[in-house]
Amino acid sequence: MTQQQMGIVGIVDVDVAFETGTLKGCSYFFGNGGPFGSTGLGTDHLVSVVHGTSWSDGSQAAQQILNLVIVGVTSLPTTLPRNYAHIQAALSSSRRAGESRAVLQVVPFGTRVLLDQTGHRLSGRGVSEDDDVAQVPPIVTDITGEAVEQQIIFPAQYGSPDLVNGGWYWSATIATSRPGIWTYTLHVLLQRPRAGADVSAEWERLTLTCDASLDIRNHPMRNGFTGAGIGFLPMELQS
Amino acid sequence: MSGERLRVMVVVDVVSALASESLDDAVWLVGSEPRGGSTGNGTRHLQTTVAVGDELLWTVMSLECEAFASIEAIRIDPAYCTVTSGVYEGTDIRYWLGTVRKNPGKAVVPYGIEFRLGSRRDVMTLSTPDLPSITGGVAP
Amino acid sequence: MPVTVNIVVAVDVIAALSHRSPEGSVHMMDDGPLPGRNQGTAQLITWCQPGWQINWTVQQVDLQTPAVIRGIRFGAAPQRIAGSLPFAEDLSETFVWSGIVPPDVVPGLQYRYAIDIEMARGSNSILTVDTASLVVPIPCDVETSK
Repeated sequence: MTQQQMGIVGIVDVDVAFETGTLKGCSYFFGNGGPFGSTGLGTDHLVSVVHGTSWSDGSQAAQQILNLVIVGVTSLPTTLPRNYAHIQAALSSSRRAGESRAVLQVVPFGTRVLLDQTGHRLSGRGVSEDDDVAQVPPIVTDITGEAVEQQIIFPAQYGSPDLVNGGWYWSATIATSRPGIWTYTLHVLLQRPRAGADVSAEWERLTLTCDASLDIRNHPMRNGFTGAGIGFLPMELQS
Repeated sequence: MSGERLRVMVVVDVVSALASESLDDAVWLVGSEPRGGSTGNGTRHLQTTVAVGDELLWTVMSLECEAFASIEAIRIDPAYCTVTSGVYEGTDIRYWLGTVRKNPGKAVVPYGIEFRLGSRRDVMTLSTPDLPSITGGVAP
Repeated sequence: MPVTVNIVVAVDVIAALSHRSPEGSVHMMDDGPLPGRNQGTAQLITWCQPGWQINWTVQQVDLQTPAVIRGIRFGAAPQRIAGSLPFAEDLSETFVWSGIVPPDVVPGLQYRYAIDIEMARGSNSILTVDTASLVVPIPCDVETSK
């Protein structure tokens, strides 16, 4: 069965979301289905068009998969390794220790390291209001809604097998047998260090929800050579 | 730092840009708003409100995680904003940093962005008149 | 006994769109009982016999990019006109590319075909690979795999 994977990217202004208590107006979703009819790109409600195909007996002919990644608007680029903060912490510790060349030292497991938006480590003590902290990417904790209840999508959370770039992401297979517009709800956990507190002790947390939709379309699968069922190949020699 | 640091994430649909040979409908800008007052957030026409001493930080994000995208240049009137680029230490992931030198007041100062996408040899450039911009009107 | 040969066209979509050429970005493979020649290249030669079924599918190397086969043309078939499609009412339809090798195929001759692969939309979105072929071996001319 042929497979098509689609990527959805969400950017959330975490600070504004904490202040307003909603993701409306401060989250921006994108997918690469723009040329194929998706709408709402750059808004808080993305409508992804999914072009399904089915065989004449109604069974699904191709598999569509959605992959979802969410970042904060001031988060570090996702092309950096996920443990970049720890690498920076280890390098800066070894420099303070007077090493003439950077030697990676072990950073205790579970240490929360904060970087600014250009990847430099913050003081590590209190976080002040003036600190330019790179937002910690929001975490999607669940996907619910009619699209899930009606078994249009089957979402699951995955961990990347890559230890360096590892992280959680969500993926969903899509059943395209029922055309129409189906809505799903993302549950998003936002976290940020509380200004003034000891970084290792206090974090604010807030779970908010955000809706998006799938516009499922279904086309019967036809043979490309005949327009109907299978037939002879139009084999001719080149003149 | 006397001013705010304002982030601009430049989102690119690399496949669409390469297939249509155009950045139209393939680029969107999302900005942080410590000052508020920005318009067009989530679109190509992001207009960011700035004051003297503010720093703008541009990074690129490609929609397809496997696709390479990099900003090669930010072109803006240096009278209002001077730009330099840097890399995240230990990597070749680049960012662009602009320092606001003069308050644009009511003026709208557009800026262009040049990209290197995929393994295409030539850069691709946002075309006028559809450009993002900075504007002032905020007391320093 | 009916035999099916699957031809997979693996495409590095970003490379193909960047360089506008199948060179280095298209890799074709088949799984027939008589393994084809030039496996992994765009010049695949697939052995077959009349009555066999041939299936073509495309597989993107970079998984989240879109790629579909828009056409497969043999011989003196009309040149593809940009944007035109055989039967689709709208561009979002996709097709299954399967067919039976007809009985009147001449053994020993290379039946070249062209595949049009569409990646996203736009002026540069279609890549045509026209260097692969199907061949019916002449009896006693069956090659062992290279």
